[in-house]
Amino acid sequence: MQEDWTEKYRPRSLSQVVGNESAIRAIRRWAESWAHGVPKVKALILKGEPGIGKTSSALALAYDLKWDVVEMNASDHRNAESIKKVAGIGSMTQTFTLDGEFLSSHSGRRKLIILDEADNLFGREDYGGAKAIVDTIRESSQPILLIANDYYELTRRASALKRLATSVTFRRLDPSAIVVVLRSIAENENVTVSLDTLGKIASNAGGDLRAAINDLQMIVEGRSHLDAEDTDVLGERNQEKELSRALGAMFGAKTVREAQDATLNLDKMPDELEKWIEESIPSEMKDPEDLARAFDALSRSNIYLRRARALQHYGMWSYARTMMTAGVALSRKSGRRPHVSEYRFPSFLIVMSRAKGTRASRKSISSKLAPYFHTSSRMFDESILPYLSKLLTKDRELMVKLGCETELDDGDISNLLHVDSDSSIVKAIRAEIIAIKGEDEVMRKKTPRRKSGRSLAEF
Amino acid sequence: MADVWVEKYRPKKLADVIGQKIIVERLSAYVRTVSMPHMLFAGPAGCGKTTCSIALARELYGDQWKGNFLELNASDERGIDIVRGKIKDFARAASMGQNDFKIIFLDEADSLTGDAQAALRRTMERYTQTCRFVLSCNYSSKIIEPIQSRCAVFRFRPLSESDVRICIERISKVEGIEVSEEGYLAIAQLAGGDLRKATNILQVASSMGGKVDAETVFESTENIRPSEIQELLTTALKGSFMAARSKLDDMIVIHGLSGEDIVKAIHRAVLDLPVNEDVKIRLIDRVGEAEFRMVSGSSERIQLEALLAHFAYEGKNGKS
Repeated sequence: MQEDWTEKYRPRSLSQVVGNESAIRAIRRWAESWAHGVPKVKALILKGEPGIGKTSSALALAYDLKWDVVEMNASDHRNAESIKKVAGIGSMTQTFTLDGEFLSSHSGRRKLIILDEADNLFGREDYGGAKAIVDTIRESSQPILLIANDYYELTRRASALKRLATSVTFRRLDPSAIVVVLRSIAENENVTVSLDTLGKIASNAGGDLRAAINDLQMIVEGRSHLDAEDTDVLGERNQEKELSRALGAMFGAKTVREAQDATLNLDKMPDELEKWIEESIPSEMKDPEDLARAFDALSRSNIYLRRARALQHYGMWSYARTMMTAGVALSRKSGRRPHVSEYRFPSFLIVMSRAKGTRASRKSISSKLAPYFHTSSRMFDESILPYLSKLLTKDRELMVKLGCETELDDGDISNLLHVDSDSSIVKAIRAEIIAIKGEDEVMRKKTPRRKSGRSLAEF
Repeated sequence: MADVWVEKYRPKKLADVIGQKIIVERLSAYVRTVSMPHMLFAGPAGCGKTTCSIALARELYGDQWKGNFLELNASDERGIDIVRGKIKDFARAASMGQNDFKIIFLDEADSLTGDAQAALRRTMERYTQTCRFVLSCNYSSKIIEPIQSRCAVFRFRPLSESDVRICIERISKVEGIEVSEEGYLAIAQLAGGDLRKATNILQVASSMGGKVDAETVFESTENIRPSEIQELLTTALKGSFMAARSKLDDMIVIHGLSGEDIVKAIHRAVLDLPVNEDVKIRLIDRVGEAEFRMVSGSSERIQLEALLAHFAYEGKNGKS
């Protein structure tokens, strides 16, 4: 695997940054204000969508001015303590990096603190992070750049930032600007690509330069020539953004027509759109009465969808569409609309795919034990397993017996006992089962023993 | 030797079956005359349908019962293939030993699709010389008319509190455990006429060591379904819709519960919720609507979400 082009071709100077001229000017002006001591505005917030040059500009600035950089992003722990530790080092002692590495800092040289993905930094684990940022800016004698996709989310968590920092907006890049960058990369990599092809990649990226570079690298991989049809493999980058915009418009609609039209141009089947709306309702509808009404509308819509499918009468989709868009959107009677910055991928699908393993192991257990208890798997899961698992954790002999009389494997046993499959308990139980079953095997040869799950060949 | 009591104490003889006196009498008569019709056993869970079928087979065939008795579960193998495959194969093969007919016990027959039931009807007729069917289901109305009319229908009643007591006494005597009066009542209350459940509760309670009383019984059923549902509903009532929804997802995805199971459990749990009585009525009305929409083919998750959203709304309403 070759080097990541988005890193390889990151601008080394602000003058190489493509587009966003006014933002770059604002950054330069602010940087100059540090030439003679600590200015009034110690921090900038670089805000804008992903992949349009915010982090690159911050790093390029440091190159230009030969400032040292202390950088934190979402991959670091960012609770109050670690932010203070890192920023404290950068801003006060001027000695160590995040890793504790010694920084060769000349006297008078600035150290730029970059808090990347600042809007994402406060989960449960990043407890106190917002306050730590505010404190850091207040106490710092070093320049600080906060980088965020979602300015609203950032300032909601730490409203003092509005006063303490100046915000600089980055805009999406024009496809023609992206083509320029792609072409210079292609030349440098000795790949021949027509402008048309580059144009396709650029417009598909929806203003996201990083995405465009990644796409280019992905299709070029191992080739020296690109044709227009090679871009067919590109995923539709625009989709999620478009979907987000459409959902935003839908939930903000005041009339039935507006709500319906908002999602009309999306290339989504109604069932898929329904899943996105289902996912978004709780964040959009904060009033419990609105929430209940909205879900009721969605539930009506779902009935139409199912009827349409059952009867193969897809004309009924239009009723479903009205209910899931207008029916849901106009459920808001409280008047308050919360700010929703992002519409998420349907969580249920994520839960489903994560739980695949858990489900498979449950299924494996019940398919083997249900016949033993003369029940269906469903019945077993519901009315036997909860009790059985309580008994088994206490009664090893019982585990061994079940192991002997059914086909439970080590994975099943470990799941039943809630231990690792290579734990010593499972091994010991397996050994006991083999000891007993071994004798059994001998017995069986004399007197054929049957289980309930016998094969038909025996008849 | 260690054992799971629901299997260890499953009656082997018809005479030992608890409750269902009239049914047992009829079945015993079939054993004496060595003849029986196709049968449909209808009744709730844990009241003896499977036990009666197995006991019947044991008495009819003695040691050869397993060779002449095919036990199938329609909810695991629903669809028409099971009827055309396993059932047909078994039905047309001759019975073992001196017996004129074999028995196919089709458990949870109400989960067979309509097509599969229709296919079954022909098979029942065709192989009636060599094979008898015992179908078991919760509601006979879910079985198509032509099958019902070919069967003797036996309605199993949910067991009474005193039946549950007989069952507990029988087991505790053999196992040498002491059950207090409150212990009996607690088990009977929790089991609600379901002997499988009663037996399970008894075994878990006694596994904690010492006497089985109300406390050990409730302790042993802690963390088992009903309280999960309670938690789901109280979370929703508090207005934490998102938290409630993720609990719901756990139930569906990890525990593999069907929407219908969940909605029924919600129905049972509503009466014990900390809300006033008018609210309970409105909620139950909603639960019914959700179940109706579900069985009309709508997405279970959406219907349950809508239901939880209503709980959240009523929870807030009740406060103000």
